[in-house]
Amino acid sequence: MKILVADDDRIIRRMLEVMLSEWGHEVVLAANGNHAWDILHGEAAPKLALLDWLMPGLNGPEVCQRLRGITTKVPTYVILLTVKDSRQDIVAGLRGGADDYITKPFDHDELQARINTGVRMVGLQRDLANQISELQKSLERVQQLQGLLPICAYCKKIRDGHDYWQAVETYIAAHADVSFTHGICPNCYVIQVEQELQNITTWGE
Amino acid sequence: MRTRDEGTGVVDRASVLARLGGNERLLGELVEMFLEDAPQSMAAIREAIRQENANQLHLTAHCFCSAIGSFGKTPAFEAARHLEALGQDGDLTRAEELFALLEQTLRQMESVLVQMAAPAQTLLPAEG
Repeated sequence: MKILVADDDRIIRRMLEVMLSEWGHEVVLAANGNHAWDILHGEAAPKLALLDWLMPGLNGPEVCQRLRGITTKVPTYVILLTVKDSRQDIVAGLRGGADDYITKPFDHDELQARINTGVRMVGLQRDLANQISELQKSLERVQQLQGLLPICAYCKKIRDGHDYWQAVETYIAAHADVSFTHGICPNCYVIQVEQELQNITTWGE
Repeated sequence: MRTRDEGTGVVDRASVLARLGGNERLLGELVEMFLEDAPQSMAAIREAIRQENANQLHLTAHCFCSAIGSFGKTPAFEAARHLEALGQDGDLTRAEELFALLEQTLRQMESVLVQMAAPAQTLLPAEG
């Protein structure tokens, strides 16, 4: 997964860059909050970010608040990284919109576990967004089949929104996730097919 | 190798390596960066104290604290952290005293780091 690391200290950036790369992630680096914000609301933005609390320009919580102000299908999972370890600081960080909080110096295994949690959360959000999108498409199709349909009293063609008359099966196939196979019902067999067969026989004689 | 992480200025190589997932090469690289950057960070903190600029002291000490923390919660880390807090609170009365403590603990830390990184340095590619 693509992960942003924003920290003004190059030692921390390098440490995280190497560790995250070893765990199979693609790492994007920023040395200040403004650059972090530019990356996070740009195209193909990382969906997981490790933000230092105190950086030049925008600080971590400010970047986080800005992120929470934008509408996106998959929200960015933010982990705040800081030497601030008091309960008030942790509560303030999480209230500011961060998803998780790691204090420096951080433990290798704990960091990996928390990153994995973030990756899992982003994956779940992405799946959920895809499912919602599918449901919305289905709902649109159902809505298209609701209401009054103008139908020809004789040939049973249906008039669509563009004043074009379509066969019932063509119309429904275009507005619902169905396709048709053709057959003959017993009633029509008696009325239509047997009658035709009789005509052919009579004509042959 | 000494193994105290806190209280004596000595960095525990084993715990620092564990924090880096056992990556000796990375340890060597980080020590090199730290030793290179530390004088600039100290100069920035000293300048903030000289100018009695609390906000600047907060920022510079915070950044240095973060860098020192890469090698554990050493006394130098604690001293930098106290300086950061002074800057945040806007009260610089003890700043000189804490800066002297930071200088002293940092010297101890740096000498240990130099020894500590020696095995890792052999893993780094030769320059030139």
